[in-house]
This record gives sequence, C-alpha cells and structure tokens, in this order.
Amino acid sequence: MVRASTEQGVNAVLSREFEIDEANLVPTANLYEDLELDSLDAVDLVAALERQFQMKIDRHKDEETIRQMRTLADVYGFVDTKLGEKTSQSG
Amino acid sequence: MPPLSVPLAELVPHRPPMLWLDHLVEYSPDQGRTIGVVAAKHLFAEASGMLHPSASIELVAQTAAAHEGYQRRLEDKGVGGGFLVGVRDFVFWGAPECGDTIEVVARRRWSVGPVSVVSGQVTGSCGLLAEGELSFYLDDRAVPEAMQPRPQQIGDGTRQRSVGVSCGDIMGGIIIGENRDAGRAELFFERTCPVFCGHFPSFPLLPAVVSVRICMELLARWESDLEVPRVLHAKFGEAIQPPVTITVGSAPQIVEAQQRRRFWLQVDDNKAADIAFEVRQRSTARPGEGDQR
Repeated sequence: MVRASTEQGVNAVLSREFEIDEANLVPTANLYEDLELDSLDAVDLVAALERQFQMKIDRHKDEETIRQMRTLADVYGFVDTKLGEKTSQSG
Repeated sequence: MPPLSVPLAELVPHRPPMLWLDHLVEYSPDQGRTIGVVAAKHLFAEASGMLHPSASIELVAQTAAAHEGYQRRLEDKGVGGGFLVGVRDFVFWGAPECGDTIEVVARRRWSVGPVSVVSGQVTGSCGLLAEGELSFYLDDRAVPEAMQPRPQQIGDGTRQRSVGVSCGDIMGGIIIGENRDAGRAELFFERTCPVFCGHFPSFPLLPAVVSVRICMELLARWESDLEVPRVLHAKFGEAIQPPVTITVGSAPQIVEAQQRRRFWLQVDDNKAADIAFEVRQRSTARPGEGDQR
C-alpha cells in the first residue's frame, strides 16, 4: 500500500514541473501514452522526484526499476520503496 | 600512479572556439575532473571580463564528455557521440573570469537506457561558480531519432532576406524580428557563425548552451531589471543546424510564489528547446544568495 503522502508528492511534481492536469493523475495512467511524457521527461521526472523526496538513486540498483516504469502506480511504488529504504537506513 | 593530464582535444569532438577546457586531470568510473584557463578572447566573454554565466553549463558538459571519452579510450573505442539534452536546477553563483584557471567536476549519477544524468560543479579561484545537473544522450551507434536533423528544419536563408533589417545579434545570430511586449524574437544563424566552427567541424550544430544564452540575453533586453540565478529546467529535443531561423517565445510564470520565465525555441513547427528560468529583481547581491548550498 503506497502512502498517500507519496502519491501527493509525486502528483505535485508532475503538476508543477510537467504541467499535467491533476485530473489525469490516476494510478493507472501510462506515463508515455496518457501523460504524454517521453524518455527524456522520464529521466527528468526521476531527477525531480529525487529532489522532492530527498532520496538517492542508486546507479546499480535502481536503473532497471526506472527503466521498467510504465504507469503512475509504478512511480508511486518506486518512490515509496526508496522512502522506506531511507527510513530503515536512518532508523 | 602518475598524475593524469590528457588534452581534452583527444577526448571530445569539440574544437576551438568551442573547446573550453585544457586537460582531464582525474578519472574514476563515476567522476571526471578537468582544468582550463579561460581564454581572454573567449566566445562567451563579456565586456566586464567575465564569461556569460551560462558558460558554466557547457563547462560541465565538456567535462562529462571528456570523462566519457576517457572511459571509451580505456575500452579501446574512439570518441563517441553525445548530446546535451537536459538541464535541471543549474545555479549560477558567479561567472568564470577571463584569465582565471577553473576546475570542473562531473559526476555520472545514473542512467536510463542511453540517457545519463550527470551532476557538476565549476570552481574558479574565488570559489564555487556554478553547480547543477545535466542529462546527456550517449550512444556510439546512432543519434536518437528525435535528434536527427529533419529536412524542413534546415533553412535556406530566404526568411532572413524577406524580413530584412537586423536589430542586433546574439552569439552571431542576427535578430531579424523582435516584439518585446509579446516576448517573441526571430534569429538567423549563418553556417559561418564562429560557434559552428568548433561544434562540430564536420557536423555543425547549435550548442544547447547557446540556446540558453539566447534566452537569457533576450530576457536582459526585454526586462533589464531581472536577473537569472538558476536554470530550473531545460529540455533540448531537436538538433538545430545552420543556416537556420529560430523563433523564440517567452512567457512569465509564477509557481508556488517563485517568479519564472519560460522560453521555447522553435525551428519551423518543431520545438527545439524548452527552458524555464528562475528570475528575480536584479540586485548587487551574489547570485543564489539566500539559497541553501
């Protein structure tokens, strides 16, 4: 179960940085077909999320997960997992 | 291990006047460090003896290219192709000064397919001058389809002749039309502009940093009370090849109380770049002051 705060934070980035109408930000939305992002936008999105959530992308561990992301639910899940790792590391 | 000192010209396809650093002096798989003396007659030099602040973007880009070039050398490959396709959160704390020795670090952070994210810092004798993130398309097989020059974007100069009178120039690009109130301008770049001699000799391409500078200079012409402390976001999608007429548009934005200016560059109907700047009232304070570093 993804935290509501994660969803809100991801949606805020998409709305603010990519000017996507919030009404379109549903978990099933495909990043490329529904939200009309391209591969460069996807990289920018992850970079923006990294800053928003102050998480660290692990070059070796996360690249394949990022490559596989297709839907907004995938993005929520990725960020939530990274935040969980961050919490467990700091705790 | 002896200290590293590899001339940049051996590692990157850039050539003067677009070759801005001298040597790669440190290499690890994740990071490269370069040094260089800022030329007195630098292409980005201003009357103040400083470079235009946007130059730091290109300095990080060339360091990232040198890092990639050295890695390819270790793998017995030739100099590869790479294109700057994005800028994110690039802060200008100052500007490189002509005659000063600068040091530039580029760290390869992560990649998705052929797109790599690099963070970089430019330091001069007076301290940190700029830092931020860049995205590159790196591929030694072929440039991405979106960046392939399209026949319709290669102009023949007829629009310049029809518009006629020049109202100034930016980086050798002649301003052939300008509407300050609407935030629009048209610039024409000839193949003979100096920037194309070094970027690149066999494949002339408008450097992304020139697109950034065009926007910053137009902003300075139109709203001289504003300054740019930061490039929030830039995306370069289409290759711009001379001779070419570029249409520039801009609009103010306020996002979460932050003042922004959004610019876009078009060649015919193709969007070539989309750039968002943080802006603020010009002051004597150091750029970026008040931000956390």
